[in-house]
Formats: sequence, structure tokens, C-alpha cells
Amino acid sequence: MPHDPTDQYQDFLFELEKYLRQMNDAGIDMPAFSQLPGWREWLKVDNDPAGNIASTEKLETLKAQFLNDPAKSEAASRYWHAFQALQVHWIDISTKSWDAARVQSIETSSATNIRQFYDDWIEAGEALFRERAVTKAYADQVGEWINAQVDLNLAFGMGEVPVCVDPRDLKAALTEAEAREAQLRSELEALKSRQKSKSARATSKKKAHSKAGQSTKTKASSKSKIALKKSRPKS
Amino acid sequence: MTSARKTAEDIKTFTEKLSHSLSQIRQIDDAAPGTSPHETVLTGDGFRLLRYGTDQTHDKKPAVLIVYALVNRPWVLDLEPKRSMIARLLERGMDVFLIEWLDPEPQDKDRSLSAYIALMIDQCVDAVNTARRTSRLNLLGVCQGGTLSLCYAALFPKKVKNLITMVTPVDFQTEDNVLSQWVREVDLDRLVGCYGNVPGALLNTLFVSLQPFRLGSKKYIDLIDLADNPAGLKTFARMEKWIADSPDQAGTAFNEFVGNLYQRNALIKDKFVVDNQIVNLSKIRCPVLNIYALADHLVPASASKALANYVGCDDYSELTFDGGHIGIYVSRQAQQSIPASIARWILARS
Repeated sequence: MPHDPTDQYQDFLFELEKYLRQMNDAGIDMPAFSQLPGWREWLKVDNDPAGNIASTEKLETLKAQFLNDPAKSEAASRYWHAFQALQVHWIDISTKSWDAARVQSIETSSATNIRQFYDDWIEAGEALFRERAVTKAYADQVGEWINAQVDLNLAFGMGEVPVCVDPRDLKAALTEAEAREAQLRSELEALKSRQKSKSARATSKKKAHSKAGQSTKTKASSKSKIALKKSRPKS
Repeated sequence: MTSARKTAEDIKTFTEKLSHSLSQIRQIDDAAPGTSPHETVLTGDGFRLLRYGTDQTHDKKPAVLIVYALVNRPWVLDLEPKRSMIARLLERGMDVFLIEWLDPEPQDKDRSLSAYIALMIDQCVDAVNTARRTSRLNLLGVCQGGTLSLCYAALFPKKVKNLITMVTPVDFQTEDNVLSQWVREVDLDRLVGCYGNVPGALLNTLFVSLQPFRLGSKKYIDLIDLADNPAGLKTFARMEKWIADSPDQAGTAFNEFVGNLYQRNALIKDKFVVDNQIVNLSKIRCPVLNIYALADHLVPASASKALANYVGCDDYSELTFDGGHIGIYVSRQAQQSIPASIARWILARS
């Protein structure tokens, strides 16, 4: 049977990934390194008390609290389901990425060394991830995971639960606001029409008054013209 | 086919090289970024205004006020002497100012976007204009800071001479905007209620999760290429430090930004309210230069390009960069082209 190097490469790289994660988890003395996101660390918020609930140890310590507090138990359950749903996506992408890298290396014989195989794997993984990340199912799952994490933290007493507005109250407030708006609009229309008739009356009065005034004014004006003419010195 | 022995040797060499690089990077203890000389010209509630350079004649040069994002540190623009957009702008004859946002304290959780835009940016603009005895300046908004700058320019059009936006989201709901789709269903009221100020670590993890293979693994393996390259390792260490150093976000401002923009796309619908006024982008009449990266995974080019449809100016130009969101700040290619283009564009309009 011919030797396929990708078997060895994959095994080695899988172990290497694990090593990098362990190194990071252990907080190894490498100030230059930022947190390496791994399987469990993905989307984890470091500074929340319930964030590492995904670990078996943490679950064990919190078990008593879950049993005695339905709210905590419910929040933990929601969190765990959301976390697992994301994990399913992630494992699926990861598995397919290895397959794609192997197919790529066999078809194009590009895997002449481990580095090439590694780069193929990264490219395949990113491409698969990009496809998945924009789907509604995946996006909703990320949103659910964040919401579940927040709920879990709130259940454990972190922060303040915002005042929850009952949708029925909101609907009643909206109906009331719409009724008030309709009333204001009808009042505005009435006001406008009153204003219109008032200004119409004023216009006709003004016209009548203006007619009378105009004849007086014309007369006065002719008078002054005459007066001017009269006053102009003779050349 | 390669023989089993050759494969084993290949793996051994790979491991040795990686170990060598890792041992070298462990020895880097000082990866402090931010190298260009500067002074603080104004300190306010939540910000510091910095002026770069030591040139005493800088009053005679065009002033550029950089508004950076709230979600990362601005020193990626001044990472090290050879990778510093700020240094390149100074070399091109600009008088560079930068707003450095200060971390919100727990009591700042109710700080709003109006405070950032209509108070803090406005104070900085006034301070720059006062220092230079001018009435208008060039505003350069970067990433989220570009969105804040657009709002400012629409609300205070008389104070902005030219506007440059760089990798700036405008249409927050284009199909390829992954981040936008991820946060669409997040209950922001509960999130902010839970955390107060939103932890930078949460955002950082989300950003890294956008490219989990590349950012979570590849870059560490790529260290092999940097073995015996101390300068390259130091740059790597500085970048790592920058990526990991995400400040917390004032709760209310975060809620407004994500809720109104990512979830409701209010800016392009003329429904985004800042300081009790609707932000109307058509009120931006000054010349606009819109710079975006073609392979940006965080702010897709489509999100930035949309600006052309909404600003009200006649003098609108675009500059594209063939790279990603980080590369546009620090890559050699960007260092050579972006600051020079910005300076040329400003000088032509000064």
C-alpha cells in the first residue's frame, strides 16, 4: 500500500493544535501571545463568573445550585444547549476541512511538505467557515449563544436584569398613542379649517376695507401729487 | 509518493523550526507600541487629544484630526517606526491630531453616542481649530471612528473642511457582513444590563471568531517564517498585543451603535438620532475621500462603498486597498500608498 503523508501530517497537526491550546490554557509565560481561541474558548468571555461552565469541573461545583434553583437550572440548560449547537457546527466544519485538505493535496499533489498541507487545511477551513457563518441558522445560533450566556450570568446574580416590559403593555401603550395621535390630528384639522374660515372672513373684510381705503388713498395721493406739482417751482 | 521516513523528517524539521520561533518570541519582553513623539493638548471626560510631531512650523501645515474606533486601541496607526500611518502623514506635511478614547469606568455605563460625537469630538475639533486659529479642519475617521465622523460632519458641516473615511461601515446590513448577521438577534438590553460596560474580551473573541482558522491557528504557525528575524518577531508581538487589547465599551453607546446600526441599519434610513437630531448624510457637502479594503472581513467593502449613495457632496472619491482590515493600517503596501494618497488629496483641497 503506498504511503500517504497526509495521514501523518493530519495526526501531527491535530496534536499541534491541541498543544497550542494547552499552552494557552496554562497561561504559559509568553507575554507576546494573545488568547488562542480553541474549541471551548470560542466566544468565551473571560471575565464572567459563569463563563467556563462548559467545563465538567465547573458543572460539578454548580450542580447543587442548579438543583435548588429552577431559574439557574433553566439558564444553565439553555446555555449548554446553545453551546452544544455551536459545537456541532464547529466540529462539522473542522471534520470537513481535514477532508477537503486531503482531497486537495491528493488531487493536485500540492502537499509536498507538512507546511503546504497545513496551508491547504487553513484555506479549506476558512472557506467552509465563510459559507457557514453567513447562514441564518449559524448566525441565529451565535446570537442565541450570547443571549444564553447573558441569561446565565444574570441568573447567577451578575448585573441587573433590565425592566422587562410586557408586550401586552407595549401594545396597549401603542394603541393609546395611536388614539391620541388620531385625536390630535382631528383637532389639528378642525383648527386648520377654523383658521381657514376665519382668515377667509378676514380677507373678505380686508378686501372691503382695502377698497374703501384705496379710494381714500388714491384721492390723497392725487392730492399730494397735485400739491407737489403745485409746490414745484417754475423754471 | 513521499516515503514514510521523509514525512517523519519533514515533521521533525517543522517542529524544530516552530520550537525555535516560540523560544525566541518568549524572550521578547518589551513590545510597547506607539513610537512617534506627541503631546497631549487637551484632556476631557473620556478622551485625550494628542498632537504628533515636533515640528514647530506645524501650524502652517494642513491639520488632520484622526477619530479612531472605540472598540480597539488607536496605536495600530503608530505601531512602530516603519509601520506607522501617523509617521507617514507627518512625513507628507500633515499636522496630525488624534483622539485617544479613555476606557469607560463603571460609572460611565450610561455614556451615549451623543456624548462621544456631539461633545467629545466637538471639543477636540474646537481645540484643534483654536490651537491653529482656523474654523475648519480635515477629519479622518477610521473604522467605527469613520461612522462617528460621518455623524459629526452631518451635524456640524461648517466645522469640517474635508472628510476622509477609512474602512468605515455605512450600510451595516450588506449580505457579506458576517458580524452584522451574528448580532442581529442579540438582546442588547439584557447584555448591557448584565455587564454594564460591555467587556472588550467579548468583542475581541467575536472579532477573532470571524476567521477562526487564520486568526486562531495559522498566524502562530507562520511564526516559523520569522525564526531568526528579531524585528519580525517584535512586530508580531506588537500586533498580538494590539489585537488582545480591546477596551470595554460604555454600555449605552454600545447598545445604540449595535442596535441602531447593526440591527436596524438606521444611518442610511435617516433614522439615526444623535444629540436629538436625525443624522442626514446628505448634509455632508464637503469633499469626501472614502478608503476601503477589498478583502476586509470585519467591514466588508460593500458596507463602506454604500457611502457614495448617501453623501450630498459633489467632490466624492474612493480609494481601494487590495488587502484586509488590519493590513490597511500596517502592511508595507499600505504604508507606501495610503498616507501618501490621503496627503495628496488633502493638499489638493487646502
